[in-house]
Amino acid sequence: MKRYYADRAGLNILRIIIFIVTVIATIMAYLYLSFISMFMWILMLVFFAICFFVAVIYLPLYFKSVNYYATDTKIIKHSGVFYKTNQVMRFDAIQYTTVVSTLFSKKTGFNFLILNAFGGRMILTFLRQRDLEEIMSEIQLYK
Amino acid sequence: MCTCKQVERLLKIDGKKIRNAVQRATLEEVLRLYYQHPYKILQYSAKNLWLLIFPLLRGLIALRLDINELYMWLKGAWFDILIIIAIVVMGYIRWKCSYFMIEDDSITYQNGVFLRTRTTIPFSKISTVSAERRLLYLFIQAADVVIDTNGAGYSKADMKLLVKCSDLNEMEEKITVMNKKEGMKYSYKPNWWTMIFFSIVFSSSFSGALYIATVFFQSGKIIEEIINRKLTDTFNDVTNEVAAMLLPKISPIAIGIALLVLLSWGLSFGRNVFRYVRFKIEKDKFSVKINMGIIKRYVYYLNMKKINYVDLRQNLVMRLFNVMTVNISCSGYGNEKNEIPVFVPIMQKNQASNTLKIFTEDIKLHKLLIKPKKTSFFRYIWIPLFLSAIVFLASMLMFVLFPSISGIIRVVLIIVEIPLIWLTIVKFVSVFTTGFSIENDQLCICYCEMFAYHTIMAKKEKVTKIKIRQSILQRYFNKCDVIFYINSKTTRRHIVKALSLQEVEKNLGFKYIENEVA
Repeated sequence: MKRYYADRAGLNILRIIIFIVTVIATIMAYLYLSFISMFMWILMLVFFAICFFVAVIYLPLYFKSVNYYATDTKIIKHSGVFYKTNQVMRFDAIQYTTVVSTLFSKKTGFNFLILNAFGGRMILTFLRQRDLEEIMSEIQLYK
Repeated sequence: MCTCKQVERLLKIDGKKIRNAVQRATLEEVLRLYYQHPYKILQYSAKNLWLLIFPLLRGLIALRLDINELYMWLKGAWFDILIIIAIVVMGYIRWKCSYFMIEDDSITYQNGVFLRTRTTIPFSKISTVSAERRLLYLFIQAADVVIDTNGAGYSKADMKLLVKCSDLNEMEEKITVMNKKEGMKYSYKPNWWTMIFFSIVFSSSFSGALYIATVFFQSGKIIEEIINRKLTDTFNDVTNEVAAMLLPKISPIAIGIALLVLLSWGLSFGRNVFRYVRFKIEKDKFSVKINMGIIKRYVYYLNMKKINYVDLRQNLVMRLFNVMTVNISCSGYGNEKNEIPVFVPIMQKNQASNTLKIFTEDIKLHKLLIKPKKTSFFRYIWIPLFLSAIVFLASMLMFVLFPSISGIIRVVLIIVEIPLIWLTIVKFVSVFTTGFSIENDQLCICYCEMFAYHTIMAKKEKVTKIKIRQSILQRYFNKCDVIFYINSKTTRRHIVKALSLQEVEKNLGFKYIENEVA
């Protein structure tokens, strides 16, 4: 049985993206809502609160909670921040696979594997390139 | 030249070295990347392109043959032209980044520029491959190929490609379910009249009306405007004339509704004729090939092992004439709106056993072991009967309240009551034909859903769930409904009503204990 974790590089990239989006939203609020200053400040505060919650609390917990086990015959996914979920899928039940990856995914860890099986699907998120290839080669055996 | 598997292995062993050494062109040659038909570039760009192209063309047509005017036009429209070029270039880049590979035992499709999606379907998991050729595609030598599995994907089709005909031929050689090297063992082609009869039986005014609505919504404001300005007047004239000539007591609006229903039925009939008239089914050891369509041509390749169940369908008229249609549940075949997953369009009941033996070797017709008692007929007919009574009472009330529009009310009453009474008769007949049996790992279910009688035949292993349901009244009479869930891309329920709980428990081998199946 081998254990796979979500790539932490993905966490840092997401944090940077969220920070940039928050700064842009704040600047927009400052430029266009300065005539209602009270509302502007509240909005800016909300933006930063969301940014703080997602980047500092939710995402680290999510990345910590996500892990996958691959045995000879099945793959098991543990995930969930507030509600823990366990998903089990037999390799022979998989009908087809879809890999979604962004540019520079080898560095960023933005690799997603969707396993489509009879009656349901399992999404493996933020996989390292090496882990993705390993899982894919396991699945290939059940063609 | 080495095979795809060998290249893949080489890439795994020393990927970096090989990737650096082998140029992309060589890699393409070795792996044999298939690009989609270049018409796809236009499809990728089309959504945004038309918005800009028409104003530009209008401006260009308005010009006289004068270089100064052309210069002035270019000066004003340069930004629009730039956008058009950018859209087409983007379409080309998307096309160039979208390709598929046919490996030894699977097909892989990669698409996307910034967000790349790579879908791999093993040949062994393919349930259906369909090739669709519209009239335009006959001229540009292209075909829409849809590959489907039983997997629960995000979109209806698991893989959809626009391929060149030459590539389609290669696919036919390489993909197991499409390969017909051994030749076809059996073939069946119903005659022209059978298919016309089939199209009449399965043409519904409702689906036709839906079709009109879809056309109107999709075509946008141009059609809406034409209808508002011109057709409404013409339509009113026609309906007034027909009403004056034939039925002086019925209002033109009612005639208009009737004409619309007839028109929509005609549309539905026409669509069915064009789709099913060239129907031909061929079978070899592992797969079935189905050809159909006149203007738009369809070829379906079905994997025999992936057929979830066979459905013998009848309506009341067909039952009277002892004929039926054989439909199948196989992911990717007949799943779209207005499509019928037909296998044998029309056949006599006494031919059923032999035909099923040829085309669906493992699945057989069995005698029903568990049936509802004849006294349970009220459980079957109470809903249409109740609705019929409600409609009748409501129309009586409307007659009293609005006597000025009694003509319309009378027509609406007749239009609504006829199908409800028909449904009551259909449901009453179903009491004598409903039931199920499980024998030799085979399941056979007979039930009625709306106006259609279904006989479902499946292997026992395809059943995902069986549910026993009891209402308060059924608890008192010790009766139950049994719901069968059978494997398919979308789970479908088959309900057999008003059976004896004891008989069901005995036959299924489990007990019903207070809302739980033990």
